[in-house]
Amino acid sequence: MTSVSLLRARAVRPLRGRALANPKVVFGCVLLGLIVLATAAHPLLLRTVWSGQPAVYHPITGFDPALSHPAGPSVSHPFGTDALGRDVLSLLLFALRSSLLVALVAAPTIAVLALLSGSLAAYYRGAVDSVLSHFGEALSLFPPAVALIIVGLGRPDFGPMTIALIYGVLFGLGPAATVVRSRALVVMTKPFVDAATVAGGGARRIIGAHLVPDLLPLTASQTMSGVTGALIAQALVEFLSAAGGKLGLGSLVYLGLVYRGLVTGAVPWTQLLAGALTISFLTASFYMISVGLRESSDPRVKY
Amino acid sequence: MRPLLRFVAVRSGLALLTLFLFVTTAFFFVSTVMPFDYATQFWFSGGTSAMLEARERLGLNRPLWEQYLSFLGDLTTGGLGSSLSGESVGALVAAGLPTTLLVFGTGGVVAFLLGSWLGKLIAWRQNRLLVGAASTLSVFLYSAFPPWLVFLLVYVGTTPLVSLRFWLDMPYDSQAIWRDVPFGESDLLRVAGISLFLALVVSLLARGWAQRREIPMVGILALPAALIGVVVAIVLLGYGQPALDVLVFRSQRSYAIGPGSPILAFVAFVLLAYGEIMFVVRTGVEAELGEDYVVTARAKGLSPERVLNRHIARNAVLPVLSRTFTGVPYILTGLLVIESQFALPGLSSLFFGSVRTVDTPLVLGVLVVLGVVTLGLRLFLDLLHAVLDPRIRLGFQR
Repeated sequence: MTSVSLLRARAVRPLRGRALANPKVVFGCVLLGLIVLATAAHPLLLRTVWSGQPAVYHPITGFDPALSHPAGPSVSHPFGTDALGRDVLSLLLFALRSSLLVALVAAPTIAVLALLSGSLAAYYRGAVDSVLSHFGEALSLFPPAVALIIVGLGRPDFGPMTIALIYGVLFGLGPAATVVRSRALVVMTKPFVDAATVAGGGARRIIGAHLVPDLLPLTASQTMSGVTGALIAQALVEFLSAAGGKLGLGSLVYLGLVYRGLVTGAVPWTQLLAGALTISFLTASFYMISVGLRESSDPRVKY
Repeated sequence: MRPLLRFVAVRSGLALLTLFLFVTTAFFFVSTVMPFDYATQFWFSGGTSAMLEARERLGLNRPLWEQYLSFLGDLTTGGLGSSLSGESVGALVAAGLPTTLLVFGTGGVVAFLLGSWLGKLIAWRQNRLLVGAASTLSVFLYSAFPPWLVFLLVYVGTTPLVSLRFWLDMPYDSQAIWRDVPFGESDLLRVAGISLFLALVVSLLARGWAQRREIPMVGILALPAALIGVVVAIVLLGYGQPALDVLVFRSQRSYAIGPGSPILAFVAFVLLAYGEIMFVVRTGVEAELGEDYVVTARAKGLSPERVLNRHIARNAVLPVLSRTFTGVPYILTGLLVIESQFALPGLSSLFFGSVRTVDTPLVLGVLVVLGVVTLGLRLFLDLLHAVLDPRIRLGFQR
């Protein structure tokens, strides 16, 4: 062991074990896994269980002529049907795709931007730092949901990719970068960084081998909290029908509330519950991972 | 006091720089990203020539940098310019702000009090059942879809058992209530919003002062006294019934809490916002629990409440405050929907209306006000930090 790695081993405590010991992280991961499995099951269900009646179970154009709609739960429609006669379970699993796409695109965007901006600012200080951190401060004054509504209203091509990228850039360069930078500044004062510099480490070596590994848990926590926000913002934009009319979890709830009372005045509880609770479970899974990682990456909290 | 003054000057300068960057980003974002402009609506009534004429008249065909400079010019003279429909943006924002303050300001303060109290409690008691129940409920409420939560609250509010109509069995005549009142519904909403928010702030200051002077009774009674004071003042002025109508039963026109009620919007906002604060306070308090000064304070024979409230909370709560204040634009997301779903005449309905008509000066006006409020809160927090912690204000002398 070189002296640099010895110094580092003393400064950086093992985090993987502590993160997995946190019940919130474990519970969040399990919940997220179940949701991903359910989404993956949709094409399979269409090919196997529902293959006999493609006209009934199609997520957009499906209609069951045997019932009056909206119908409550039954054996053939476990979550009932919506006011247009579509199967709510099929709608729900189909709508989950766009939510997972947002999570999949927003997470790396936030993580990469926050890590880059935070570590470059802390390593170079001076002009680089003041440009990046002032710009970040200015961006964090911009509510992403507001930006999404400004972009989305009246734009039919507005979808999950654009939502994820706009949210990811605003959150990644804004609040996430600010938090990562403050941690990076602390790491830069540690003796192992001085030792590595004396040993001849350049910018790439110090940032890549010493700064980034230490910042990863915090960046992960920030990323997960950003994804939580992006998913809520996506659902809100869909609910406000600013998402180009695309089907998502938010529009599922919106349709449930709007078509309520059209014929019978009844509240389509199964549809509302399915949409709203799925949004809750999905955002809760990312939120719990985020809070759990934040707790276990705080070096002073003992678990 | 000199280092403190210097600190304030430097921080204000930095805040102005941030504000300038924000305003510039917002201007170019809003002016380039919207698919139509304000003049497009004239195309529907008068065709292409009317649209071009409107564009010429409103100055929308000027180069972007020229529009930017005139926007900055308006800002430097302290105004927000005029909207494209000719009204003053400042006046429109000033009309919407009190309602937003009622829901967001008082809601934010109450959510903070509730969240930090619960966070302290579960960190201190270390009771597994309590921690589990509070955490589950908070995660559930934090991740609740705002429109769904609002729907549930309205649904429950209009059920017979909850509504006063069921219990009072009295006719409710809202026209009779408003007959002798010399002002409108929204005026009363504004006055009530501002006075409730001010009462809350004053009572919090009084509480802090009482805790410092060790007069526990004042600390406990400050908040209820201030709220009761506002209520009594409204009733004594003879506006009790109209106030009840506008704050609780609004637009329902019966003794049932329904859609449009600011009280329900307030409840929805508190439920959505307190969970995050609870978790951060809990982590902060737990981090302090192992410190030597806590053991010392307990060994001196101080009561657990005193150690928690006077010793630990002071160290643990400041970081939470800074987190809450920096998160203001993000917390507003929920408010946006709450306000528009309850059809409250606040900033968010102004914002939605202006986005629909692509009234860029109005959109920018709302954004600038949000930015200024957030930066003001941050500046206040920095100042608080500097007053409490000499290391921060002296750091500028070196």
